[in-house]
Amino acid sequence: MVASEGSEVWVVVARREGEVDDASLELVAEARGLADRLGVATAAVVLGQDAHLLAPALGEKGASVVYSWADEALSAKHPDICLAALEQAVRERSPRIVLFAAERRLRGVAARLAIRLGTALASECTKLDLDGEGNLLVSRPVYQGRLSARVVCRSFPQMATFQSGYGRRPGLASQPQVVRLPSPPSVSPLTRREQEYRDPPAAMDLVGADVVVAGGRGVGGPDGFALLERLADRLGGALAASRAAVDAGWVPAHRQVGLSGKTVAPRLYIACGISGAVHHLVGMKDAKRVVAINTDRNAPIFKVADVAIVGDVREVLPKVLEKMATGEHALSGFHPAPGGAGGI
Amino acid sequence: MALRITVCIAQVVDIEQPIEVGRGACGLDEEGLAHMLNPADACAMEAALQLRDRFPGSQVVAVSMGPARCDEALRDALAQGVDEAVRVWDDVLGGCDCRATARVLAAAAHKLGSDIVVCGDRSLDGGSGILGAQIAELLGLPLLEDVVRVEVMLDERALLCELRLGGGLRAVERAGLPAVLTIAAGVNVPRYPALRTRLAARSVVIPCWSLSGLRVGLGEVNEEGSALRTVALLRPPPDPRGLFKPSSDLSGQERYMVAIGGGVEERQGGLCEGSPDELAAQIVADLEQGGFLRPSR
Repeated sequence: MVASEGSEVWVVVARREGEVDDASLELVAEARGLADRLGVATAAVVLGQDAHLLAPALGEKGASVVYSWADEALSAKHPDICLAALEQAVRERSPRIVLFAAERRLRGVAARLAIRLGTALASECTKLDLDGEGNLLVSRPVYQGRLSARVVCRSFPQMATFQSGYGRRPGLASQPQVVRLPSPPSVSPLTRREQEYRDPPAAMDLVGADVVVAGGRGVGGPDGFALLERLADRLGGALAASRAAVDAGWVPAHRQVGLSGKTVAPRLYIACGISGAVHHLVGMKDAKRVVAINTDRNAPIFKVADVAIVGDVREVLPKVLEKMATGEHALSGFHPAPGGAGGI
Repeated sequence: MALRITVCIAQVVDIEQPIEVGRGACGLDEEGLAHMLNPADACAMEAALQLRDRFPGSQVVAVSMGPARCDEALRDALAQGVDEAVRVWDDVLGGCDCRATARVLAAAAHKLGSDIVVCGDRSLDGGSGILGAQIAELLGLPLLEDVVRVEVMLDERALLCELRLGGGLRAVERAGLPAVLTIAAGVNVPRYPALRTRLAARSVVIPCWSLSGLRVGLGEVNEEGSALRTVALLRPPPDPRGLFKPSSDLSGQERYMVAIGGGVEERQGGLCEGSPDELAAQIVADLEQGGFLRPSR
């Protein structure tokens, strides 16, 4: 077991396309709250070699130290190497608390790290707190969220994974110091990733997709949807439709977004030839960015769009695909995923 | 050549019924509570049975940690077609946490001499979602999470799995046997038990292993060995949400439509007009700015 009087609060940072995942930033702010109450430092642990690029964003949320390695192999593709690196780091520096964002790429690593360190892991927590003795006290949903359990962690380091969206703290900006850790011992990985790919747009799970390209009556028919599919494929996204397109038989019903279909919250939603009836908007209003293309400048979809393009999908999309196919984007294909896309 | 497959199953509280916190505020009021086989475990079992059917002579053993009522879940497993069922229990396991459960199940899987250990990816009640990973680590075996397809190369003692990584990403990973696989609910449809096997399952005597037979120290898995202690079980606090108020300028029908829409927020995108070429340039520029198009390497 690791020494009990560990000093720092650590957040092992999950990454998305090289950047720090939002969930991890949120967690750094939470960790800072705990660390301040304990009177210790907050450290962000970055798997990958470009920690100095991420340090400002992590510092903004309250990290005072950023740990990293000069090792290329530290990515989600190599959980065994990440595990060895984290184990070594924890044993050397004995943090008091080690937190992870409850993100599926890190879930297995967190669970296995806890076993290696001889400690317990409280997973999928929604609240992080301290009890009277300074032990980590978490709340986590049980029985499918019908009840919430308050759980005390009693072994060190105290470990938890935290669900995104439950953070309550804005974070406290600091100037983080970047510390390089010694390279992890070499390990022979137990699993080997042979291939990585995205589902084709028409088969990708709509809920949880990063990018959704949706079409409505204005797409004009299956030929128009073929254009949308190419665009979705190019962006690594899923293909969706409004009720009108489903009713017309152009797209199967399980691709429908809206009141009688699915609810999505992608980072990017491209609405093509969709007028924007309220029944549809309900299904996509939580998208982070909305691009809408429609011929009718009074279409209600434009009211919820960040980019409102007045034009015919059948004329605009071929040009978009053309521009993507030429010039500097020619080789930026995302299918299959390029080397860096799966970063932890 | 044949496979020995162990599937870890759990009996969970059926969450469709009303549940009440019991005395002591740390557990449920057990009286009259209905239980069910954890849905993800049912899919894990189906995956195990499908593997067995592909390799003649293979065997599937279902293991469950729990009190006598868990025999019911194990009997369901036997009816479904598993070859053997084992229950592991000791009264000290009453307050054990996920790590202690993993220790017990790992020891059982080890004793059974498994080539493949299959687990559901999470339980309906505790919902930790880490049991499979912890079993793998305790046994020092490769872990393959959220598996949707398995290919076993028996002569090479290896397997290839297709896994979901989330966000529409998938991977194919290779690992040597033995290995631990986790399966999510919904990736397959558990078979319907035949009347014959269901009747046969009724009379099977299900062995109950004790901790001593598994060489698991009591101190590792009792309440002291469980570092996570539940101090309270509460109704979750309500999730505060602003109520949406439709504008009074709208007609009755519009207000109704907006209200059932839950209040869709307007955004500040100005209209872009022009030739298809200009519009396309606008879209590409926006995608680029948003980081959705990666510049070529």
